[in-house]
Amino acid sequence: MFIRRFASAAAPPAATASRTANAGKKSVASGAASKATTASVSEGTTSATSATTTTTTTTIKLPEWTPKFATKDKHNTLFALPQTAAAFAIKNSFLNSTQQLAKTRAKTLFRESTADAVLLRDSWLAFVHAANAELAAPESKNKLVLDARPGAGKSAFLNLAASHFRAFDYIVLHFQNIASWTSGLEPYARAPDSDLFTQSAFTAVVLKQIADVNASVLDKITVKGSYSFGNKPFSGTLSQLLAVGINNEKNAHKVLESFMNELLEFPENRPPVLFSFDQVNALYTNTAYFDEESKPIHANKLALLRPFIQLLTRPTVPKACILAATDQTTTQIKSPFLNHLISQKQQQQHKDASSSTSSSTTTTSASAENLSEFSSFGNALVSKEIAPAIYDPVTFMTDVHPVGVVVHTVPEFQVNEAYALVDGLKRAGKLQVSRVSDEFVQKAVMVTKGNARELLKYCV
Amino acid sequence: MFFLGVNIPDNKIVSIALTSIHGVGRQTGIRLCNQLLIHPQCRLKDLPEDKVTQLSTLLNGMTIETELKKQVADNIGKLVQIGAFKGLRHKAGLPANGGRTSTNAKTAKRMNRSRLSIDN
Repeated sequence: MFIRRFASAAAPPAATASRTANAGKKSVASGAASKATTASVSEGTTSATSATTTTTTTTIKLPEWTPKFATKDKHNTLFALPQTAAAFAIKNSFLNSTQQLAKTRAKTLFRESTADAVLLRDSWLAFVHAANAELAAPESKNKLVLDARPGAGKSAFLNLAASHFRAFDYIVLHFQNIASWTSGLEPYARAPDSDLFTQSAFTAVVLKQIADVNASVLDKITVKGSYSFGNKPFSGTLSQLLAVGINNEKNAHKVLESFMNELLEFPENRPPVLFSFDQVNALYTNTAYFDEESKPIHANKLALLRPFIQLLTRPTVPKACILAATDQTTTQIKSPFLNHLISQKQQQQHKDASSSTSSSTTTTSASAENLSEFSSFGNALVSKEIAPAIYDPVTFMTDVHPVGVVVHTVPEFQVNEAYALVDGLKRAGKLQVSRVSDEFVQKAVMVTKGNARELLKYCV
Repeated sequence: MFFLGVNIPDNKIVSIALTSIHGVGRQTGIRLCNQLLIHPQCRLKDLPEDKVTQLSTLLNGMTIETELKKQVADNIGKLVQIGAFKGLRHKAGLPANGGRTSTNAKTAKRMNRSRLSIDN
């Protein structure tokens, strides 16, 4: 029974129909479908049919992700992220120190080899469908936030979504590890005219990442707003605007603000924009930086983060979509306020879904700004003396509260998804597993409760 | 790197490296870094020149190294001079704060007499 089920998981429709919501949608048998997909399908089929006798030793190259694979019939197939996805990484200046590398390697173990492999899941397709709906609307009202247990695959969702939309020549601002921006790794200084703190050198690095990822698109967009840098008025393309900040660190912050202003105030001038923030809770916590009086600096006081925090407070964003994912593993960026907001939104969405009259994707707006909602739960308003662990001063900073949050939960892996993942990684030579069988995968899923990270650790 | 005559290791984080200076502990080192807006993970070798200058200026305004040792020696010398009990204990090289002498007192026997001078 299991063998038969797994045999049809990689090949399309019949078994998938029972698992997916599209029970009535039996697509054309993709045995006859595109030849381009036969590479992965046939490999998957071969792997499935030989599930009980996995003795192959040759490694298979994973097919590179392109948007044409974002279909139901390709679910449970392992893909490699495109090479352009490597441009999303932003390296901190001091990340090459021996200590940092040793810590990172100790944590990741096998993750370096599996980081560029991603499994296409039905839940990701639903997530992208919601993102598409936001991008199609003239003004996006919702911010899609991914929440789940650590290791469930939130970052993988975002990485794949960023690569997916980048392939359509959208402008993609995908920031993978915001926590490293606030972890005290970069030089900072006080801004001369305000109470903010600047990180000029690192802001230039961020601008470079934006420019590198979106080079082909930004070259074609002429700046419409009027900006001046160093008493010199600027005119040119968005690429040239970013180059001003990259070449001269002193202008980096002003360039970033101008760039964001250009995206938000002149949407007709550009293609759709995808904003993607991983470790979004770093935006709502104290940073590892201190002011002159040794008081911790909040993320809102960093000039680099401020434009993005303000973006999340906007009720509507024109011709754009905002995706975010939380991170519960890094304790330095723990945000009781955001956890509280997300749990509240989940309860609300669950309530809306259970009632027949309202749609599950609609949210009541402006609830984040209404403190009375928090007071009914009480946790976020607990005083610092009573419960310092869950006290969060951000609760009272209403000007930074995100608006229009819609929570998407990344579900745990099912048995067939786990099998496809483990077997695919083994065949690609990225995971050293002695034998992949139905019983082994089933036990692994049961022991790890379907958590992707725990599952891979179990298999190693 | 030499700071006020003290050889401080370059590869260390600034707030930790400053503890090599006599009179600067962990908290003082952190406070100095915060005062000058030096980021917490900054290594001494990566410190820009202007920050080094500012740090030197700040440290010059503090009582550290030889001045601090002299101050401590003077305080103890004053106790000896006025004939205080603590002064007698320092002179004898025995515990000055009520510690037992039947056993232990190793640190006092080693250090207390030498604290009378700054050459320790």
